[in-house]
Amino acid sequence: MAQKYRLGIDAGGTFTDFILSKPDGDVQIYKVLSTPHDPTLAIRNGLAEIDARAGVSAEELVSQSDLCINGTTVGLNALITHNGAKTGLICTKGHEDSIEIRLGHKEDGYRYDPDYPPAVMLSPRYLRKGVEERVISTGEVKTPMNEDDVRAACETFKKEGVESVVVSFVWSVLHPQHEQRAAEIVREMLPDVHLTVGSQLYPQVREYTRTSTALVNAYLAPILQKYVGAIDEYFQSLGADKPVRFFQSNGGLALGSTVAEQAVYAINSGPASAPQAATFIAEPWQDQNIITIDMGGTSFDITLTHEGKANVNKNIDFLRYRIGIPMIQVETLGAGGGSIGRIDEMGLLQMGPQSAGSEPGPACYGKGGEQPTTTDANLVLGYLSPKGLVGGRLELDQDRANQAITSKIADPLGLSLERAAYGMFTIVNNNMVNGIRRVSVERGYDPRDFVLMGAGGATGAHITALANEIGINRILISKLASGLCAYGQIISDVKYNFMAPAPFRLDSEDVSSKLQGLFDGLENKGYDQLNKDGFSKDDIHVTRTLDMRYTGQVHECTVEVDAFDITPESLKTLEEAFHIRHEELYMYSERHSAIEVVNVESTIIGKIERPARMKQAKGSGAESAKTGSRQVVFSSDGTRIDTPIYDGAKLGAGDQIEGPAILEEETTTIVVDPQWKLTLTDSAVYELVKKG
Amino acid sequence: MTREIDPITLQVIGGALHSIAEQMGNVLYRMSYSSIIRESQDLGAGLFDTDFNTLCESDSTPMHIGSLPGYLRGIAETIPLDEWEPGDCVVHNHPYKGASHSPDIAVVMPVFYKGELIGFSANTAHHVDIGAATPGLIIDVPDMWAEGMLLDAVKLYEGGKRVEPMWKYIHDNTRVPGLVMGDLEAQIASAELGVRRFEELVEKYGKEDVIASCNQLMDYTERLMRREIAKIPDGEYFAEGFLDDDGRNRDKTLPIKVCVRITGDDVEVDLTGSSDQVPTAFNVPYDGSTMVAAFFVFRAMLLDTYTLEEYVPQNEGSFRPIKVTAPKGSIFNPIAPAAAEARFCQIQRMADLVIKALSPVIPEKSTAGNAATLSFAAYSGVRPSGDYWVFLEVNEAATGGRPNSDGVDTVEELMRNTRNNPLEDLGMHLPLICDRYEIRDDAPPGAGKYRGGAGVVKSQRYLTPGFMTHESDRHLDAPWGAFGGKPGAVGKMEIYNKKDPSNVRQEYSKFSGLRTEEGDVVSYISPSGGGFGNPLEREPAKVLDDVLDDIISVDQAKDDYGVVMAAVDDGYGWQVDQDATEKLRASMA
Repeated sequence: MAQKYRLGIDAGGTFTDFILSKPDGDVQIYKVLSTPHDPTLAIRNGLAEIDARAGVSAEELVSQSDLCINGTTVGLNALITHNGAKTGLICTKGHEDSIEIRLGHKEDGYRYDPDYPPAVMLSPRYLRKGVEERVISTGEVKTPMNEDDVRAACETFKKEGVESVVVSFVWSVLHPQHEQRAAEIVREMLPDVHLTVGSQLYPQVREYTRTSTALVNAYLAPILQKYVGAIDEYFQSLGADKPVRFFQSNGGLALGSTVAEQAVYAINSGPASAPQAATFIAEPWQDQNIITIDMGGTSFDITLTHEGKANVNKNIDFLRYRIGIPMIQVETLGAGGGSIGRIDEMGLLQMGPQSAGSEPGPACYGKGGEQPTTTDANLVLGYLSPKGLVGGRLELDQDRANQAITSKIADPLGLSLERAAYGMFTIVNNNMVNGIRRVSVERGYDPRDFVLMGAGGATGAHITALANEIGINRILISKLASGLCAYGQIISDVKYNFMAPAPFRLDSEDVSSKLQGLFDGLENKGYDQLNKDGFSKDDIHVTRTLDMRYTGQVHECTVEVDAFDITPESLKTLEEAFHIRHEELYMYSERHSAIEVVNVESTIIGKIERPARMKQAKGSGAESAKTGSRQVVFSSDGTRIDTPIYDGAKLGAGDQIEGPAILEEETTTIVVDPQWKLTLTDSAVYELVKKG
Repeated sequence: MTREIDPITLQVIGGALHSIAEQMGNVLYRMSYSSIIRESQDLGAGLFDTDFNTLCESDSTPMHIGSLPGYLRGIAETIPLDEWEPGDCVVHNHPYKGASHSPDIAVVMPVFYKGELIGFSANTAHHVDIGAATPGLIIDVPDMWAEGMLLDAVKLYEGGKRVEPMWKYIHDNTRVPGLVMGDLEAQIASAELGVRRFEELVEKYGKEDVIASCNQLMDYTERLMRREIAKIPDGEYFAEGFLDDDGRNRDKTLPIKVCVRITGDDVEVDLTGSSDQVPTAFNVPYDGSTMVAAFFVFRAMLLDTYTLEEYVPQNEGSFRPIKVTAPKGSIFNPIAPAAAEARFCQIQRMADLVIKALSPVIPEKSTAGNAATLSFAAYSGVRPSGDYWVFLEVNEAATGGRPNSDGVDTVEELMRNTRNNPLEDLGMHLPLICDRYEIRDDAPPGAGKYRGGAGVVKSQRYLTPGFMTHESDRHLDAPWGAFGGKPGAVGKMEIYNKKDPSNVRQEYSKFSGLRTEEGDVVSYISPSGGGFGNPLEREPAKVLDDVLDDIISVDQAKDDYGVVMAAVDDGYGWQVDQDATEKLRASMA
């Protein structure tokens, strides 16, 4: 039974965004300040804001909402501030320190810097306990487990007040019995601690990654449990009749109880919903290849969707902790509206990574900031209105921006104000373009085959210039761009990943039945779980990935396939998919070489009905939306061109604007470069196309 | 004369060059087959002008960075600039013609623009086996011909056409053709990418502007380096130490002497007085390794990207103010045909001694003695099928205590930065079990206000008989303490059989082609760094942490740090006895 509303909540570092979708296709964004010390407070404030502005009370809204969804930064913050649970590790004797040795290198390159800090350990050495036991790569038990070692570890943990325990052994993925037995002992001796078992959470080959993933999970789980509990309780008190669903970094939703158990899936979930929103917004054009960029005050996030599927990363070092589980790949750069421009001692212009943030903020905010920032440059160039942002609620001071850029950049370089500002703009763009290249080119994609999707409030000023630089000739910007991530959450599906090790060669005996058996096992677990979440078989969709490589290679590449029956005949399809992916990534394939699988994974998706698409009423021509003109700079020589300004709120579907032009919306400004043309479509999306 | 490029264009071209080098490095390591390249990223890549200046290079392993100009000069002895054709591809590894050492094979391709040679795209990567006397690594060999294939400016492609006989020759002269040929293909793909991106860059900004920008960026980096050198007071600064032996003549130690001469904004590293060249492979190629190592130390100490406010483009400019002197016939400048493959321990020690020499005048940029070594292990054997398996492993060590913090435990220090191998992955392909991979706690790291980093313990067990060669050092000369800190611990190599674990045999740091039996466990224990500052000034809470973590004992806490522990019953059993500590420290001061 469909509910009246759909509500998405995105709790970011500074703002918590609320996105409210009504059955008629009306979608509204609301923003309140985040309250990290008390996460339910921001939600309460947001619901009050909706009540005040839309006239829907919190009780009415929550009891009639189809879904209440929450992107959470709680886990992220606990990991950044090292405020997780007191965590003990039970592992194979002789391998207690692999978590501290990590990859054995200095991850910032060949840095010598005598202040290079080692990573903070989530479980200190004295809480890492070795157990005599050993399984080898065939799954054979070389040394049986000494249960007394497990008991001794538990005794110590009890005395030390450990809150969360990890059990993770070498090659446990091929012989989980040792871990299972150790887990039983922990349960029995420490019934109140949270327990994470390596081969259950992340059953994949490579013990360092597995143990590290399990440790991050254990470190965060008790905190997530508390958070999820508080949110659930709050919504229930408002009359919610369904549990809240939470957004995960794998790009899907999950019940709170699952998120609390698998806390590692909740890290960095914030920007992970952007590809989902982008795919939905681009649907009317049938765009399958989308690069989404989101520029905020301090950072710039890039995500990529290829053939309708978001780029997924496994085995990444996140805040210096290795995490194996699949996560939507988010490339984050320190480039935003607050990025500070400066001339270094040697006379070169730098933008960032230092940021003026929102306090004191860019010079033009007039809140005491004196450093010239990207926002100041945009104001000087005429991209932003001197009347201010957010419909005039945030005033901008043109004189302060001029003054900061003149004194800190233009005068020292002997350039005009305009040329200096354009230089700042160019260098920030250049940093962002290099980031976009990393996400695309290095994954084997040509960015020119993609449409560029804008998200976040600050992106619109840069997006045509970025597209020019990369060679992209189409851009989409939704009217909801400033709340794109929250929007992504309300159009996401429920998604779980189930994994198994599969270290066999494709030419080995019975490999097709072994693989099929593994996938069947994983997918049955998935069906069970989604049935419990209320999904019927028709609403469940399965995709599979296999990590494969040529025998002898060290790294695998992940190949995504549909769920077909794996038979000796259909193995050819797997092989072919691998060769093709290998070519995309590495520019060659070796069709004569043997292939081996390392790990397999099934993604189980519970499809949720999409909300109605936004509708834009027909317009009567852009002329009526014209509000005036400004002198705007579009080139490095600093020439100003008289450029018309349009009010986005007055445009209707079908209205077109030729560049050069500036389009102002309440929460964003779009700069239409002279080479571009903009059209507002009937799904409330601005489509920008390069002329000619 | 070239014209001045405005700072914004300069910055944009600088950023583009950096991104090209980064992508070249990424293609190479992602495409390669061997773990030494893929996991350890033992590689380097970049673009060069026709004067062989580095225009940009990848953030890879230090010894590869800066070595490519030497290769290019060596190749020019055989192929003059006017003989290059578009589509040529050359391999080179001659240790007396610029190579870093013979396993580091360079792939070089020319870059043409409108028919004119404008530069080179090149990379180097460490190859697992080039057919030397022993599998993977060599120590005790008579001369450079025993190092394996010598490739002196050999063309694999001529004008875009594959030179098949050369490919066959290389394939037939390595124990692991599957890895070596795959890695060469990866190197070629990386170089091709560099050629393409360099051409695009010139297409977009024009040849003059790109070249002028490159020159300006080099001048810029040179100015940066000179500015930093000038901050060091003029003078001669000395340090010395010694290495264990040459891998054949046991117990004959080898002196290493370093004099750093600062004159204004110039610096000279003078290695006069260091050991004569040795009759094994334990020598350092001068162009490709000695010079590069000296360049690197100064860049790392003085132009660290993470501590400097300025943008630091990676190019030739930072090398220009540095002069390296090593007498002909010495271990740092051997005369052909001396073998010179095992060169890393000497370089590490040289780097460490440069830091020691300068520590009185730039204490804030110095550390106590680093482990400053290498443990490079080549495990090998013959499978029942008759195929060889060869596995190269680099083991971590530790840094010395630092001006504001403890030394880093179990990390690749100084000139090296390779990653370890996932041990379950190795288990899938090799008849080895890793029994121990731990932080060293048999001997304490150097005591100090900031203690030295602790070394690593790595024990590999052979499941079938095999061979082993080990290139290492520092079993004798412990890393020094600095500014009142105590010395660290020397390294060890222990071998025993699983059936008789109490019968442990101590091995030298270097050995070649050792035969191993089923069940033999080879345990390498790396040196731990020296301490920095007076141990009596160490925060007692940190001493307690080290006691709880078993890095030091209760007795060592008392004897070395003057911190008295009191037994308690709250889990771990110890806390600091504040009063007793104050008294003891007062009496020790």
